[in-house]
Amino acid sequence: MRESLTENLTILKKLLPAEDVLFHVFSAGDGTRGAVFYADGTVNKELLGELIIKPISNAKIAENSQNEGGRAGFIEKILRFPEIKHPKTFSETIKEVLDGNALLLIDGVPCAFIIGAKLLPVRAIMEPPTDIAVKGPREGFIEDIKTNMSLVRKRFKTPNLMFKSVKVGKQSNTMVSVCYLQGVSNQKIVQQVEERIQSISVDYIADSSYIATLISPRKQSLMREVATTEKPDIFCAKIAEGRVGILVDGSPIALTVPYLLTEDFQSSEDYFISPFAATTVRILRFLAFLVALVLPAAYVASQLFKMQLLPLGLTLTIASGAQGLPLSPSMETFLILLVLEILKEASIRMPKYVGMSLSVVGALVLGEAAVSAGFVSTTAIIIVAFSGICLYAVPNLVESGSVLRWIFLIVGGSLGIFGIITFAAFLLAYFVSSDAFDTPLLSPFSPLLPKDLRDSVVKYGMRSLDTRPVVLGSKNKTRLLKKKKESEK
Amino acid sequence: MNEQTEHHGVNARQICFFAAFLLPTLKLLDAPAILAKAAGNDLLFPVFLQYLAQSIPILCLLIVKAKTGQGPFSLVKERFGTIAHKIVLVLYAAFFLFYALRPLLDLEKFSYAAFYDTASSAFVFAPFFFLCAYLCSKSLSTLGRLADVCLPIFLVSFVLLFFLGISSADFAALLPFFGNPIADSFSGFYESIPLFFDAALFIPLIERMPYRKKDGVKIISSYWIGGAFVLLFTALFYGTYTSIAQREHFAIAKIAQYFPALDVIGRIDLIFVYLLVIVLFFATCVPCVHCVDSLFNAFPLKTRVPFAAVLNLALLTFTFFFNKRYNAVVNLIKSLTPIFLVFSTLLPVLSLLFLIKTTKNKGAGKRFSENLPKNKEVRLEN
Repeated sequence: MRESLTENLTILKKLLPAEDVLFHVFSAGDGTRGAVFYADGTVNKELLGELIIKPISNAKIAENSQNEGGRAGFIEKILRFPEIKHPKTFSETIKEVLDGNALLLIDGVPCAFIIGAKLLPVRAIMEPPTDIAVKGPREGFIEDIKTNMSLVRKRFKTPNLMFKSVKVGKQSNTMVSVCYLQGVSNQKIVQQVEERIQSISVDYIADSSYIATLISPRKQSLMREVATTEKPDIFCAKIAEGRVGILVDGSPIALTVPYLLTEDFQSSEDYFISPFAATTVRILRFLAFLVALVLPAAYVASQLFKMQLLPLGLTLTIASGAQGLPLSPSMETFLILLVLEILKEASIRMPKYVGMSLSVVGALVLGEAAVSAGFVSTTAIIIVAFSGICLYAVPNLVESGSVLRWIFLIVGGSLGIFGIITFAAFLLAYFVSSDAFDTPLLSPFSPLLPKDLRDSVVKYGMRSLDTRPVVLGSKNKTRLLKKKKESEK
Repeated sequence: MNEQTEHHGVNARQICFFAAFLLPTLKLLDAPAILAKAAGNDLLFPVFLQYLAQSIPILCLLIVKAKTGQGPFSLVKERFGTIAHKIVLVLYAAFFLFYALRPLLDLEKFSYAAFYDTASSAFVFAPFFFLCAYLCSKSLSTLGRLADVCLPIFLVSFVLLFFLGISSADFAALLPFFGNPIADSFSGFYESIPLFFDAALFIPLIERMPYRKKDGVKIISSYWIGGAFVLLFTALFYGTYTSIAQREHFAIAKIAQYFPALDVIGRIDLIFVYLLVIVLFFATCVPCVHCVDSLFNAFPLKTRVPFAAVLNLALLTFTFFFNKRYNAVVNLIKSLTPIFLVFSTLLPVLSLLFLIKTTKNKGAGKRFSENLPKNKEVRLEN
């Protein structure tokens, strides 16, 4: 930095010509000129006025600076602000200003003061719409990374909680923070995550999903390789298990690695209800997901290739409903599924009040009219609608489940049950051979880790979950010390 | 990379599951009918004999592994050099290729019978080769992991099918034991040899496994657990079909259809049959996976994909042209039985010869497994 304020301001304005980057020049008590430099709308101007400009305006810098170790020392002393940094170069200074901090410059002081008076517009912490819990905490992450970090810190009052932050995105300079528990998380995975994040070279990070995609080991994958959550309690529970978390500025969705397929069948509520109820619900989710994928395909295949699968009464009912239909069962189901997907896509994007009327039009008018007009059978509509509902029993797998359902329908319609079974076997083989961050996707089922099965489909009681998942390779294996019985003592 | 992915082999637990839950499925298709034709109600005896006979080479392989820490392929390399090793691998690749033909044709015929009400096109079986090619392009650790997931699938489907089928079975039909001339039992044994070349499938697996104390006992016990499943099913099969058993090929698809409640609730037994077919698919792929693995080890390329693609294309062509010549293929494989026996039985037994020399060299009685850590420390492998 230069000593002359005018020179510094000229250079900075040349480097940051954008209109929203402002500077305000003011005078100290003895007439020494000072300036604050900031991006409009990102700084708490009230704090800046009260704690920075006001004390300097009242001070006589030239008189007092000799006793206080120079001008810089004196200014730092009179500033009533706790978070002050001194960037050494112009590029560092610019980064800080663009990050939302204010820059203080004083004439005759060859040093910049970065004031941490950032005040970015953030929304309030509220329950995330994608992860609603009947029992348990209702806080959700928001778009501000600092708030999200504080939500995590609130739950881990330990020096072992580490945050390692880096800036990603050549244009966006988005802050990405890797979060883990020292001594609990597998250091190899932490290192892998850090390396992968640092190797990202992209212009702009719009959301954490960019990071999830860019750090995934497989370029093309049917399933995601990084888990996501909007809830700090789930995020912290995963960190406590030994996983590594990633927070991205501007995104309310936090990431955790390694990801296991069973995670998506678990819910935070499973840990707040009785293990029996949790096990039942988990089995229901597994069944619902299977039904969602296979039911439309099985319906088509049973009609076209293997009628024996259905009881005679049901076969006759279906046959009477399908009598006179112009479309084949596979075409019929294909079209209904297409309508369902379009309705789903449209109702998500529509404004709420339009969405409601769209649902009525879709469900009643289209469905009812299509059956009455003899385009499709009632059975097919029931099958597809039930499959659609079942898929939402596992919300995190909706995207991949939807794609898989299409494939199942195509193979079921063209090859019958043989096609469905072959594709199911292929999927199983694919899942079994999928590893991300040195962790098998299908663990603890394959490779079989009996200890980890205690929190998979079956959920054991809290006392039985005394060790961390073996698959995560944590050095600190114990998470619950069991009390010894009197006799053992 | 940690030990989970670093290790491209399988562990003892996975071989146990492979022996107990994957291998038996191959014997549930055509074997019971063949045995019933040759041995009548004494069909259990040839199955028992087959398992007994196959246990010997498997045991030999395990002893060699326990004593030297190596499998026959590695020992050939160590003793006779790389060229001999490559020749052996290529020969075994050819053997596995021929080995794969019979299960493939059986599976194809079974698929038409179990999955379709009407005659289907020969092309419908083609997607199986995508699955097979995918598995072939992966290392043996994938096969090991599949063995892990096959445990619940096999147990659920087999047990439910067995209990659904038991209601219509008359086990008294199996009596009296040895009611037929003993020659019939041996004839059944001879006729079913091509379906029981199990020991060969263990060679690449045992080659890759890290041997630890008592692994041998576990693997042999698991093999016999698999044998028990086959014996149970064979008994159920004969108890259900008795005198017409020899004509009931691929009976697994209909063994439980006589359960009374199925008239009301539909053929839910087929769901369990289809589940079992998933395991059967993987078991049928095993010789192909071994074939590609042998070729890949003989001629290491960047990936296994070229070998997997060529092999599966060849097998697809074969099944397409020869599915109508089933009997001719079966007869061909039967005529190759002596050669198959050399690969699956004689060579594993002869691998004991390596042991004699190794023991002389390295000092007798010292078990390789003593140098390895306990099971607990390597539980994450694969």
